[in-house]
Amino acid sequence: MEFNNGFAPTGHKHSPIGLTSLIDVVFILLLFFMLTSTFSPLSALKLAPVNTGATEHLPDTEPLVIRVINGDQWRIKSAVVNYAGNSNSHLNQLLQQAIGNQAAVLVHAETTASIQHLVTSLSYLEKQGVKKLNIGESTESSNVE
Amino acid sequence: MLNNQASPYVSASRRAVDDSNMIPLINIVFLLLIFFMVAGTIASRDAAPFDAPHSQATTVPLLETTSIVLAADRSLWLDDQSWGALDELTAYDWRQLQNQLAEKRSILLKADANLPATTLDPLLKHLRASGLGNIQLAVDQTP
Repeated sequence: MEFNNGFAPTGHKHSPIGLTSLIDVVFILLLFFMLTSTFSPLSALKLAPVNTGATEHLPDTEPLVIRVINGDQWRIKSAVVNYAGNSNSHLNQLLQQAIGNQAAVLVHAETTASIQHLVTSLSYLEKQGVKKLNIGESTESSNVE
Repeated sequence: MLNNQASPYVSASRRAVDDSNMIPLINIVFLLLIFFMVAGTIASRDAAPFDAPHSQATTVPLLETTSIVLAADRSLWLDDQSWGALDELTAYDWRQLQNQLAEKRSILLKADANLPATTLDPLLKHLRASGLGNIQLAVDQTP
């Protein structure tokens, strides 16, 4: 059907939509979002919001105290435990006991440990099923129980 | 003017559907646009560079909240605000920081993975003393 608005020459067919300008706008929007968006690899570990250690909520249960020496080793009751290697039955027993008693696990870092070591330890404990995790104050390497 | 001159060899109906070749392209571009709009978040960049510790544990989603950055050079930042070197903060500075944090309900702690864990001590002590209900430690989950 021909339509003459008085300006266009009679007999010329119009395109239904001007797609070129639409594509221009969409491309600009696409470029904007591609350039401003960042895919953040970050997520978060939640720390217990207590003031003086994990025992505050659990007065009846003794927390399991772990001191992080480095990325592979902990000190538990003055004994050095290698947790990153093969499964350690004594460590597993301690952890299962703590989980069973609903006791908290209090993680202290020794002066030799980095934040990465601390997070690795927290991750390991969380994977083992420990729910009540907390970070305590750092201790000197010689200051053991 | 050239466009208005109809070629005698191309029919009018053929010229009218020329733009239809663009439709698959537009579909793809729209899909990409929607993907970036949904998947992307417009977030402010961290005030100071830090290397997040890696973790394979089950984590919780990041809170859209105030963040404290403990950078590799031991400088402390509350969002974009610099508080100087961690070791040089005075008791007055800590009180000021604690007062600011007391208004918050949650905080995201971004600490550099290579720093000694002892650097977290004063920070955690004051964060907890300020009564924050939710403290998160930012970790990197990429393998």
